[in-house]
Amino acid sequence: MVHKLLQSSIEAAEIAGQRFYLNISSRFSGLQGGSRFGRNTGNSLEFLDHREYQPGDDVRHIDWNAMARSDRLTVKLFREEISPHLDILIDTSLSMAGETFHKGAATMALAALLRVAAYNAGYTVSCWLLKDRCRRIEPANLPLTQWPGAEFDYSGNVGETITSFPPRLRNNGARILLSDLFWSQEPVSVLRQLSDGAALLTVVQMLAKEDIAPEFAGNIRLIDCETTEAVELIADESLISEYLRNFTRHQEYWKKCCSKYGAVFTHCIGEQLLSDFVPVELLKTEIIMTRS
Amino acid sequence: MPVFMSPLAFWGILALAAVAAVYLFRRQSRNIRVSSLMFWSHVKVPAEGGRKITRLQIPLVLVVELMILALLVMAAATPRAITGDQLVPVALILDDSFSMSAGATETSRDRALAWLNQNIFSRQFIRLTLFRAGVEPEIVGRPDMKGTEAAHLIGNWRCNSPSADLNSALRTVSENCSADTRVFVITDRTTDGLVPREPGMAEAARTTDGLVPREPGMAEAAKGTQQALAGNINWLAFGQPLANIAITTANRYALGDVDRCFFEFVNFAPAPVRLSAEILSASDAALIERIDLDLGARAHHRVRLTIKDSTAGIRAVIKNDAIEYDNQAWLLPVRPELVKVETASLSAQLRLLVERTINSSGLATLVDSAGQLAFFENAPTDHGSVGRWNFIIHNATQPVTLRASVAVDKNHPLLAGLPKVTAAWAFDRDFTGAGQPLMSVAGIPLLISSGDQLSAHNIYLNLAVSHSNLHTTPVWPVLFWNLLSWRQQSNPGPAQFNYHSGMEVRVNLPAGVGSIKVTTPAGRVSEIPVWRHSARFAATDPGIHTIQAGDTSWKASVNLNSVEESDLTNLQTHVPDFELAEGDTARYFSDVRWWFIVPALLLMVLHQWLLRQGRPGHVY
Repeated sequence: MVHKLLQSSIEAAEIAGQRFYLNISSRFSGLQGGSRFGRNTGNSLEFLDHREYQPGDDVRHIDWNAMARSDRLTVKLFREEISPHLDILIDTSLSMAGETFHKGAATMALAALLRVAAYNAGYTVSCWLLKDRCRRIEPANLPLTQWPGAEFDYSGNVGETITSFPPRLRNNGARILLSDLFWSQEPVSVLRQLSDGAALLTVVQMLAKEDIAPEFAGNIRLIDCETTEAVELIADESLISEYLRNFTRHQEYWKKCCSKYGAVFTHCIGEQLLSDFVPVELLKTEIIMTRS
Repeated sequence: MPVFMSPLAFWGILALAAVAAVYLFRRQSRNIRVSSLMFWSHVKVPAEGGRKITRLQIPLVLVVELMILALLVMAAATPRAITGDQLVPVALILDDSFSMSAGATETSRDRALAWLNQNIFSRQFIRLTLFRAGVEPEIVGRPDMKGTEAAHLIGNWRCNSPSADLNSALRTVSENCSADTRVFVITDRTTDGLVPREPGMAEAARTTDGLVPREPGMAEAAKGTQQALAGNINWLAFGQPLANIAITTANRYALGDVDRCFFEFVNFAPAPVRLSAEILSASDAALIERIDLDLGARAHHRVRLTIKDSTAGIRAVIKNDAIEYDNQAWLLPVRPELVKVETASLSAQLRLLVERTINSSGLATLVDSAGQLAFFENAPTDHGSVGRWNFIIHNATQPVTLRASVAVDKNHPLLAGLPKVTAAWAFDRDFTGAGQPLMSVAGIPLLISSGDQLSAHNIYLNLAVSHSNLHTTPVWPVLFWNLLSWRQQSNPGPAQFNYHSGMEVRVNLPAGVGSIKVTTPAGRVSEIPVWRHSARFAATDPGIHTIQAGDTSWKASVNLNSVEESDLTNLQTHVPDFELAEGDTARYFSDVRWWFIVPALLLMVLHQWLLRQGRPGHVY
């Protein structure tokens, strides 16, 4: 059942991903060469436009002919040439499966969608499964349904894995972390590790509906997916409020830390994604864009 | 242990089961897998004291809730219990007369005791007050005893009173006990000694079998008493008719130089019996007279004896009767000690007159010294011995003679029975003396008494004998007889020596004696305190009582001499059935709902406190 949901979600996401492309950030400009043109001006050989010289412009791009004709310093603008790379880091801890597996399915669907969107933008993509080690999926274009070890079965602390055994991420690449962030590792250490050498770090908090709006009431026995630790509670408004306060506090802290490290923090609600495969929050943050 | 008046309320116990079921149902928590418990982490915060809030706390609230419910259910069941004053008050009036102890093998007292042990003393919900109905009623032990305590004290019910004034006991009960006291009169007679009460008391009559004592004059007293206790009196008789021969009268008196004794033997049996009796000398058991004759049904035989030895005690014994308490009678010498009188200080004229009067009284003897009473003329010439009385005749030389009405204090023992003074009384008009004037004329004292009767005592007579004819009138011998009798009664020792059972024995005592020891015929010794040179005690046990005061001792005989206690033919048994607690539960068992409501309220407070102490989301 789970496998069927996962497979269908991935397939639907890959189709949906065709509508999007990964937005190429200006952070890639000024870099040495590449296989793709960026949206900004750069060092490629393809002419883009003229404009008046501004201090700091590369003097090699001064159009001397134009200066001779107009006696004005004019520079030629060329399209940037980039070689973008995206690392998708997927938290495969047990908590990502959640009670209904919507979160896990949505995570894999988003990964598939992002990979397609990245391909659409000319990115090379590497996917990492975060367990006790950060395992890279080889080959990179292996269909998600065939990824080895893609089960959400790790019961350890993913944050600790990132800090202790950091993945060898490509420099100047874009990095997207898909995780519910339900671990106790200090965000700063994780973000420091992931943002180091990154062109762009995006943290997507994958959430299930029950994570942001638990609806249970009465006597409940909450069981931690990862630790199987259980606690018995009477769920009432005050309890839910308390939970939401804790959750929001945790989320706000991640946002604050991301801001500190220049990372983009956003979230994605699994059930919502699986309903239309439109990652609204990612579109809002322009991590991905709709192809025209 | 409370009694529940509304047991149907115990259906409310089902509420406990309902609460428990709801609790158990609620306790079936849904298992919910969550991504992480980290945001529920507050539930893992240790409570104060470092102990985790664990599941162990969960049943506490449930237990409290169940206890509250159980308490409320029990309160709703209207619990009542015996608490303190709410015990059923019961008064037992115990007939203490001799007839209760009559019987060859089993007495009325034995039967009554068996019944009391079974029906009264074993009840835990009563508070008992024992009234011993003898000559005078008295409380045995203390009021409001538990049954066990009363059973222990019942041994003081010895049935040795010459009579049982049950109506007086009822009055005492009405005065000492509340109106709702259940009264049980334990006696040995019912109908024979009782008559139907007056019509206005018909209601109470149903309870007391419609009977009140027959004695005239007691009906009115009983009326108030029994109205106060109406409906609460249970008259229980445990007697059985018995044949009995008794000495109903024993009397002795002095007649000149001899004593006269009188005994009456009565056959109370409904059939003739053989009377075998002896009259003996108490000192050496010498036979004085043997009686052996047939005595008809309810017939009597009287014996009159003349005893020449006035110092000898006499004892009469019936030898063929099983009921012993009325089979003997004792008659001790009745003649008191003569008063020793000194007259040496008087003038010849007066001395002759006084001595002649004294000798004719038979109460005194003339002595030269160590007298108990001394006569003086005008003033005492010596102090005499301790306790001597002085009679001073103020013989004026120039008196005034008057024949007029003399004021007389006839309440004084010296003047009791004094005839009207018609003599010509010659007296000193200027005479004054300290003391109580007993006779006076025109404000001038003629006779003055001063001092303590039991110690030094001076009596002044304002009389010029030579100018008066008082000594020729009846006033003179009466005055002297009173004087000598008064002095004689003040001598140490009992006022008399032969008593009926139940009479009070009064013993005069010299100064310095603080108490006397009285030894009953049964050998029981009791110490009686002395007050104002006198001790009094009630003699009930037939036989010879010994009275010891320091080195001096006296004897006093006590004879039953009671037809009522000897006539046992009208004894009957009548023990109506009744249930002591029937209908009394709601009346005497106090409402103790607060026993349950107060703890329930406290538990409710605890319950609320527990709930408020919990953190949000706690399972309590």
